Amino acid sequence: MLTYTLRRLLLAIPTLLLISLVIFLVVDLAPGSPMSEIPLTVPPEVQAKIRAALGLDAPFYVRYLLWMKQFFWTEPLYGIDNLFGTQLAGDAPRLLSYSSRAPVFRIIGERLPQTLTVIGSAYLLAIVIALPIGIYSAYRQYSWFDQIGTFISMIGFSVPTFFTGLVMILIFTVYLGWFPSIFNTSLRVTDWATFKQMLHQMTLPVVVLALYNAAEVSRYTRSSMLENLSQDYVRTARAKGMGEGTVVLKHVLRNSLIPVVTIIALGAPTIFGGAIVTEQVFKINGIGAALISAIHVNDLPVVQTIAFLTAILIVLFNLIADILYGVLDPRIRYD
Amino acid sequence: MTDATVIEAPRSLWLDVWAQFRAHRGAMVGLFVLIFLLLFVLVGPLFWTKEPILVNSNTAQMFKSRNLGASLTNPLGTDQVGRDIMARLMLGGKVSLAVGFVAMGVAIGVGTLIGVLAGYFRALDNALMRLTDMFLSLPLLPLLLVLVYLYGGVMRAEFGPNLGTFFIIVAGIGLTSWMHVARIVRGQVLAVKEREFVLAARSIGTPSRRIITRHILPNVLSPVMVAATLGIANAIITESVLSFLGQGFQPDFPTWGSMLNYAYNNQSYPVQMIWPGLAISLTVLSVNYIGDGLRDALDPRIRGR
Repeated sequence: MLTYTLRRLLLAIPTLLLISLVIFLVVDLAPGSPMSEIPLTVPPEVQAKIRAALGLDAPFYVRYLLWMKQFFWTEPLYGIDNLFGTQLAGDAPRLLSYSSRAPVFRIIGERLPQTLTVIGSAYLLAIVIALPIGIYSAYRQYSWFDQIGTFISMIGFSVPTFFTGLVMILIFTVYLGWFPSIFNTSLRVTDWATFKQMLHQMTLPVVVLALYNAAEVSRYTRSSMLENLSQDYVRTARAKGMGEGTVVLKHVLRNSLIPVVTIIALGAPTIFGGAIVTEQVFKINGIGAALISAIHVNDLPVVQTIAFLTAILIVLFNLIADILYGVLDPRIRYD
Repeated sequence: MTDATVIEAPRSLWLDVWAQFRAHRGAMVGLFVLIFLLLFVLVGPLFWTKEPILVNSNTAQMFKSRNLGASLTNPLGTDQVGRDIMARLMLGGKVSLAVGFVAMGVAIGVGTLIGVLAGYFRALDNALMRLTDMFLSLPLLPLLLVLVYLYGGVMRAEFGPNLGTFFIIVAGIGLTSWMHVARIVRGQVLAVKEREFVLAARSIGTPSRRIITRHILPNVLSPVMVAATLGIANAIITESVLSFLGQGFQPDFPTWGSMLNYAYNNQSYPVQMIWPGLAISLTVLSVNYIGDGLRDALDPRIRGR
């Protein structure tokens, strides 16, 4: 198991390096320039000086290596300094945003909690809803519960999140007035009242994201359960007089969850993509919103860093999925 | 008695597939809805000749015709500058569906090419599959947003505002969604190329190119067809997400996604969001159902049961 994990880990490193290069090049070679927001009345020699101050006059490999160094060395040091009050980083130059001149990681740190609370609770809710539905509709295949469940999951799977979000806003905010449509980012949870307010404003975005993800997870659970329910060992378990509950929930479910767990792990980073849209719909001031506004002002360091962080998440969750697969299914590890 | 033997009508593979497909109720409904939507956007404008893009130059008339509800002259109402929503829905649908089909074509083309190369030529296999894995790990939506925003200007300057945007969106979606097709095709090619008929073809001296086009490609067709239908759904959603985030076509040029974005920003008339959103959802839903039906119909284990 250890060699299996190590091999996966080692494979992830070149992938990440290659992805970082691709992201850097795609953003860096783009014809748009971070100077496009500066008025044309600024004389060219001043513009050249601004470019030099931003470090834009260096060749791209220098900037790439500098970015890598800041990403993997300087910024973690600053992170440690912040946590433990040490002075490891000294005054090494940080990764700065072009437009606000603030450190990119501080911007991300400010935006991340909103995104994580909404996405995290949505994903948990999705799993909690999807598993029982998937299990029951496979157990009673072609029953009315299964028919309705399959239909709803097909809808949840097909209708894009921005439309479900808009319809939810239309029904629950405009006509019924039950929930707010705009997420108040400055709300701090300090006591029971603010906690309730937080729950209140999180309901709509969480439900929208959860519906979408629940649809996918329940489809996988159902088909994986169906595959296992017709296996011989199920008949054996029943034949030796085991209770139906034990057969389904112990024997079949455990085996069916192997692919489902991987799907859940693999889906975790892609939900960030869906979150970009949901954040836009519900005006949540999270990572996705930061990315979109950074794209609009050609703030290359912010765009590169957020994109690369997402890529790291994807690789990380792929790794987790691989390792989980190895843990759950001994046939997969080749040791 | 021998002359009474009933000779069954000859059955072909595609007749069997069609019979099985017809048994899938959801897929049939999906097919009818999709055909209806296609007729709506392709044939509809011939009968419904209201202006979808240009704003009425008579300002007084334009102001009077803004944000109207449903009526006989404008069955779906008008938007905030007085243009007929039904006419815009037709034009927008044409663009959205065109993006969906062409981007799917690009994705299938690239995916099949890479899958066949990786599956057939062992020397290329490792490198191409690593490339596929890397693409699968890319943060696709952020990257797509960056691509369309940062490179859209060049394309627009080169091919004109609308065609340029069309090219960059189609290329972006196509180049970020071929990976699953490549994996499926590679797996199939690996299985098919060990079969006897490929060996037979090779032993009479058929060159690799002919083996691939005559013997291997027809045998990987079914999973590619399923992937293609699902690819259309994916491409339509991605295009509408881009337009919804304001990164798609020019604001005055309608697609379903940009109409939704437009209506969303003009929140006093939320009804205007319903039609484009419904159109996107119906298209994707029907395409997904067709994909489901096709998968069942093309699977020989399910067919004929």
